[in-house]
Amino acid sequence: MSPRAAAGVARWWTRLYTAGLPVDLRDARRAEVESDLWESVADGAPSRHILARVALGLADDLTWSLTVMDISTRDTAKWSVGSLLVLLLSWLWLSQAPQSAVMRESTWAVPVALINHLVGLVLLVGMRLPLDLRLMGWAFKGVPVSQLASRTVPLALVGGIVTIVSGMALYAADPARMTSNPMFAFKIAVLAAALMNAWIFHAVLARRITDWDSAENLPAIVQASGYTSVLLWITLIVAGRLIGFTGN
Amino acid sequence: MRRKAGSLVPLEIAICSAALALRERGIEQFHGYLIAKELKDASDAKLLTAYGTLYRALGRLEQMGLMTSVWEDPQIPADANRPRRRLYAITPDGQTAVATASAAGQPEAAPLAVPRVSEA
Repeated sequence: MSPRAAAGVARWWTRLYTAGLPVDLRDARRAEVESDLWESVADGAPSRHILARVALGLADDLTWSLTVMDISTRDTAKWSVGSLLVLLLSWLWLSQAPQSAVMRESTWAVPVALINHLVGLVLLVGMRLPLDLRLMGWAFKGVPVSQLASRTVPLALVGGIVTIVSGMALYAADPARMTSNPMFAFKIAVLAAALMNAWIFHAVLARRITDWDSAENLPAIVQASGYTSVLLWITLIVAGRLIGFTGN
Repeated sequence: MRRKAGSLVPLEIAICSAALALRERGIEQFHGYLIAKELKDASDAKLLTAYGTLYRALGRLEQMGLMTSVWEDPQIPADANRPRRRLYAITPDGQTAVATASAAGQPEAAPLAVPRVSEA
C-alpha cells in the first residue's frame, strides 16, 4: 500500500468518527488530521507508520468523539444507524464459508475471541452499571448524571465494540449452529433492546438533561431507563451463558 | 480515570517539554506533525504518537490553558499548496506546569533541548 493510500485510510477513518460531531469540532479535527497527513506524506513517512498511527489512536478517537458529541443532532442519529448497518454487513460477510473456515481451523481464534468477548462484556456492563444505579436512584446521588456519563460511557462503548466484534468472530466459527439456537436468537433480541434503550436515553431523554442533571430523584421515565438497562444487560449475560447448553 | 486536579499525564508533560525545546530553537509555534516528530526524536520511539492520542492531548492542554492555538492565515497554505495548519504555542502556565512536574519528579519524556528536528 502506498503512503497516499494509507493517508486515504486515515482520512476515511477520521471522517467516520467525526461524522456525528458539532460542525466546528468536526471540521477542525478533519483539517488538523489532513494537515498532519500531508506533512507525513511530504516527509516520506512509510504507509505502515501512517496506518499504525491510525490504529494506535482508535480508542482515543472514539472516546474523544463520544465526549464531545452533541447527542441532540440529527447527524448523530445518522451516524448511529450507519454504524449499525456496517456491523450488520460485516456480520453477514463474516458468516460466509471462507471466513468461517478460517475461524474453525485456527487453534487460537475461538479461544482468543471468547476471552475478548468476556473481557469486553465485563467492561461494557461494569462501566454501564454506575450510570444505571445513578438513574435508578440507588447510588451516586450527589454526582451529576452528565458527569458520571462522560466518565463511564466512553469505556462502556469500548467494551461494547470489543464484545460485538469478538461476538461476530465467534458467530462466524459456526454460523449454522448459532442461527438454529433459539437462545442465540433471544440474546440478539435482548442486545438489540439494550442498545435501543441506551440510544433512547442518550438521544431522547438526555435532551432535557439540564432539567434534572443534578437532581437526587430523577424523573420516572429516566429511572425506568436505568431499571430497563440493568434488567436487559443481566438477561443478556444469562442468555449468553445458556447458549452453550441449548440447541444442537 | 479520574486524575488529580492540575496534574498532567506523561504525554502532556512530554508535549509541553517538546514545545519548550522547539522554542529554544526559535520555533514559537508548531503544528501537530512537527510536535509528533519532536516527541518521537526526544524519546527515541519508532513511531510518531497516534493521531487520536496526539490531538486529544493537545485539546486537553488547550482546555487547561497550557497551550493556545490559532489557524494560520489561509493565504499561506494557498501559496504553499498544502492544507492549512493549526499552530500551537505553549503558554506561561504550560511552562510553569512543566517546571512543577519536573520538581515533583513526574516523568519528562522529551528533554528540553534536542536540536535534531527541523520543521517539516
